[in-house]
Amino acid sequence: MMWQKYKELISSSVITVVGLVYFILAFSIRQYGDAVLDSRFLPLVLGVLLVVFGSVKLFGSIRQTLRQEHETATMNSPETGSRIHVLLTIALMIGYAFALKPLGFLFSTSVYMFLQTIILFPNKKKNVVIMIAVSLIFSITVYLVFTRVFSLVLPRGILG
Amino acid sequence: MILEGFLAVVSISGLFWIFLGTIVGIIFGAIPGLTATMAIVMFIPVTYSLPPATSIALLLSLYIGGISGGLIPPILINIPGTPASIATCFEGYPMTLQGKGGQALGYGVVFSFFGTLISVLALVLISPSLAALAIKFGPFEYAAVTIFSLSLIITLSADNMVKGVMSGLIGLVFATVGMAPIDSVTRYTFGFVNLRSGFDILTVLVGIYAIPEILEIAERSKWIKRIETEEIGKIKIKGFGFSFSEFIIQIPNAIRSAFIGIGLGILPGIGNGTSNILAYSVAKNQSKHPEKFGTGIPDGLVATETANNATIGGTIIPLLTLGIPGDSTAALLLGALIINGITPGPLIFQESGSVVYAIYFAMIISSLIMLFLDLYGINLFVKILNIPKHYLFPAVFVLCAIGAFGLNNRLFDIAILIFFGLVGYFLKKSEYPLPPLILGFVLGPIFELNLRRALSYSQGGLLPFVSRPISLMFLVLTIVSIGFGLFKNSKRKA
Repeated sequence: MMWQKYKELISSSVITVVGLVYFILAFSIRQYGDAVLDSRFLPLVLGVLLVVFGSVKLFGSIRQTLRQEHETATMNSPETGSRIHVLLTIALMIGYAFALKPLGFLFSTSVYMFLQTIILFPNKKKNVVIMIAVSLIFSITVYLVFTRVFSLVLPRGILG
Repeated sequence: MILEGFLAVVSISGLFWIFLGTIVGIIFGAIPGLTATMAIVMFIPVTYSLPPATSIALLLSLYIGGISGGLIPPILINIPGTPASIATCFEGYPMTLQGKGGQALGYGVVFSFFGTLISVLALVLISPSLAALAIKFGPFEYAAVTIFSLSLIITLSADNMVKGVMSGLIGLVFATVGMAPIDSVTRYTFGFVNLRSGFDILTVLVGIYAIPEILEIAERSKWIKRIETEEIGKIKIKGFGFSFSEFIIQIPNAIRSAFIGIGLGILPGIGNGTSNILAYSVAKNQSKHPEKFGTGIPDGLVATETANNATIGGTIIPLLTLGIPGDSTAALLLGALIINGITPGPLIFQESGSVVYAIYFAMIISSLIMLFLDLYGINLFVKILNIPKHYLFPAVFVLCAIGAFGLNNRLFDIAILIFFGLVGYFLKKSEYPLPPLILGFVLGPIFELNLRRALSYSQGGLLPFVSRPISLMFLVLTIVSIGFGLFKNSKRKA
């Protein structure tokens, strides 16, 4: 809905702002000696280019949005994605990253797999038992293979 | 000498290790988040107890298997497992969506083999002259080559050049985070120690490609019907899925791509990350039907996979003849050679000739094994598509997280993975192309380092860029390619 209509506007403004911030922060890069090109050069150039291109896109999208406002936009928004699922997935991923050290690999991975599968499940009947089984088996298998066979260190956490 | 080398490799023990190496390599390449480099690192201790020829043969098989296995995820689930397979997504995944996944795998495998073969041939026949040429590349030439490669962004994103360029710029921006080349000034680290070494290509690549896939599935979860996956997974392939005459048609494309791969492999610092995209662009430009690229035609796939495997052979050339490793994987191989008492360099043929020949044979045998394994494995791999996405993708994420974590044993890297996932998702939703970002990210440091070195040598003068022949050639190629790209773009819009 809102994204569909304004995505060009939002994305180009975000990128332009990022470019501007990047450019400004470039001035805090230390300079040594009298090299022809110092470490500030490329960031400055990139910042300028990003702002320039971003602005071009921004103006283009502003004009486009204004034009769209005039046309009575009764766009049937095509299937609007399920935004809540996306946010939940992101939250779950972040949670997983944070939980790995304290809770350990086995526990975190099993819980993550289970919850993520629920989120991604299409609207059908869910077989909870299978989901739990898959999560556990996968986590244990991966843990064993990576720690015993590949000698990778994985966090032990509360089960360690 | 030749016989010695051959026998060392063809012994029961030799063949066993090559076989094992190839299989493990394929597995590591096939799982996004794990790389051939990791596999090599893990097997180095194993080589301590093996004779020199077998050790190198094992490590090379891991490398070859890894790059070949790397074609599986981009084709089946649109996630490149390594930077060497980015362009494989462009044609491979559309082919899978059309139900031709098995055929795509077949093309990829056969031409990976082809690429390795051609590069071994180059290795055998012309290494000394190629090495002599590689020495002529100084910072001016490198800067010119990277400018040329960056200009490919323009040709690659013909549909939306401004967005493509912006994406490339964003990639370059991310590459500046960390310690600057030459003077090691910290840039954009905001006081975080963890950012001092910059972002790792694996974390960026996997984050940008894999996580948005998962997020998109989450978005569409209400509508994913089982049927779409079932249709795609039903293919059964006879042989490799394509005919002999189709193979012959692709040969000119493959040979050209192999040379691109070998060429870029010989240049230390530039490797399969760039060669696969370059080969794809060239194939697209030289094709009679460029508008079909991206819809799922074999040509692009052939170009990519031939090039990235040919780069392996290309990388071995400076490694053996000059002792210069082309990338981190080659550095590992260099270490392994030294540990086994072999000194790379101009004298290697006199001093350790049998090992060199063993290397050649090992590469050929490993490729043959890869070919056979994949021939029978294709039908198995395609079954991966039958795994429901709601089980497959959480698993993919976990493996990616482990891959990121395993790089430096830092949970920070997983956070970075997710960060780039969000960046990739944002860009994807805003319809910005992702490959230019990776290209900018990979080439940025090489470009900046060599540009600054070059200007240091010339005391600020720009003349050497055009007075040195190789550098001039690449700059001219850049102008031609940009001009061509812009011209084609305006013709299309007209």
